[in-house]
Amino acid sequence: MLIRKRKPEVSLEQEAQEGEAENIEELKPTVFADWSGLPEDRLLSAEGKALLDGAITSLPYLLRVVFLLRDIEGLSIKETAETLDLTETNVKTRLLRARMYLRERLSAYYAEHLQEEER
Amino acid sequence: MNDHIHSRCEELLGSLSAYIDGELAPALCQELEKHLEGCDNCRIVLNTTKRTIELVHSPVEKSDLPEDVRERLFKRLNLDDYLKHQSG
Repeated sequence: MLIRKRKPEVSLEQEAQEGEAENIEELKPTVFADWSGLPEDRLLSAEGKALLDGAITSLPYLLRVVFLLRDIEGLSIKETAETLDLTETNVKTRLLRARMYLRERLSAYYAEHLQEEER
Repeated sequence: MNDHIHSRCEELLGSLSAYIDGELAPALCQELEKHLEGCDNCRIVLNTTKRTIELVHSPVEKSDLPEDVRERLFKRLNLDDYLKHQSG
């Protein structure tokens, strides 16, 4: 997984303020295909896994670290906030944005699979 | 099915993540569940978001990341303190 190199002179706190975007517009869903019932072996095909990895990698830095600590490492909101020196509200907002972004990316891909199945 | 969401949906979707984690206040939780009963799009967004998180959690994904790679990744993300804290 390729990780974008952070500018060392920018602190997490600064980035948090700069990147602050509470605007719900950013995470408005646009794909409404229900692929949640597709079997796991189809969802996690080599292509599906590559897509998921790529989507995680393409998350902006602070969304990615929050997602990594919370959803991959399983830290609580409080622990994630303490590790990154962010407020819990900030962590929750970033987690929501990260999850919605990944959902949207996966939905666009799996929606095509559903269409193929219907043909 | 309409391929757009309404302002009420947008408002409630802001609570979706907390709802999935079981951290939503009971009153808002009830409100969201009532809305979900009548809104196909929001229900789909909820189900597919949950599934997205499950896929990341899948053991296949976990085992794909060897310990040394994980260590390098965390160092690269400037999260060495977290790793030290975990092993200490």
